[in-house]
Amino acid sequence: MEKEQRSKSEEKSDDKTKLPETNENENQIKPEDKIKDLEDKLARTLAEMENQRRRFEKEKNDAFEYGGFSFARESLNLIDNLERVKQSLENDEEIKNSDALKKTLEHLDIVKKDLISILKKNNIDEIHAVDKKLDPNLHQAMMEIEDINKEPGTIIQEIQKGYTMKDRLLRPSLVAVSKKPEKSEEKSEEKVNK
Amino acid sequence: MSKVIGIDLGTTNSCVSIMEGTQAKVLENTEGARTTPSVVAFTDNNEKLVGQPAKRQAVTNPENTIFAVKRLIGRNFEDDTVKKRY
Repeated sequence: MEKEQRSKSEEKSDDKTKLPETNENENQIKPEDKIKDLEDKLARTLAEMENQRRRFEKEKNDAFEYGGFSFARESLNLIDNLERVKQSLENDEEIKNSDALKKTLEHLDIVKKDLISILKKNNIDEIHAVDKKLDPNLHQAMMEIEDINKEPGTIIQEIQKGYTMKDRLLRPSLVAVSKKPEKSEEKSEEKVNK
Repeated sequence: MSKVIGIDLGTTNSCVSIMEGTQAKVLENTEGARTTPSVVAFTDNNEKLVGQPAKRQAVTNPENTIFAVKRLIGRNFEDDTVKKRY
């Protein structure tokens, strides 16, 4: 036990003697190396600052251009609801063919056109989908409908209109896409098998 | 001054962020969204789609649209769980 204690105390004393040595090592760093090290740090800091400046610039531009993005997306519901109002009025049996209905529909059309022109002024454009090929960057396929006359993958029905804001997609158009009909021969074979 | 990037690969959505000083900053994708669906698709024209576009065409191309693939990472292709799904 005594030996162990002695050895420990010796180690401690060794540690104390070592400390000044390490300090000496630190002091031995050449001034040239120190300058190189500092120059490297300075260059990296400057580069990082430049990157940060560019990033802030881009963020600022994005904030200007797309600041109203979520507001614009939510306001699209107004146009959808106007269209729904028109449809429900048109299908109402009680007021069908009345002058009041015609006038109301005309006025609703004016409001809708006005809304769309405001959107256009703010670089929000409708996506024209019908009869075009499905483009997943603009359209969202909701269902497939068998159609012999149209090439497979062509949009044959638009369920909800889509809009773009500048080069970004504000809301995809919800569409139905044509699909090759399953061969009638196969179907008849299946029936025979059954 | 090494750069740090973190990726949260979620089963349904993924998110990428970088360290800016002492704070993490979530990056937006090209559509301006902070999360991207963890979906990839291969179209008939050998085109690769990732994220929202892949999800949008899933109805028309279910066989070559892959989602929730995180559940299969680490399994062999011959594994029963993988076979069941693909």
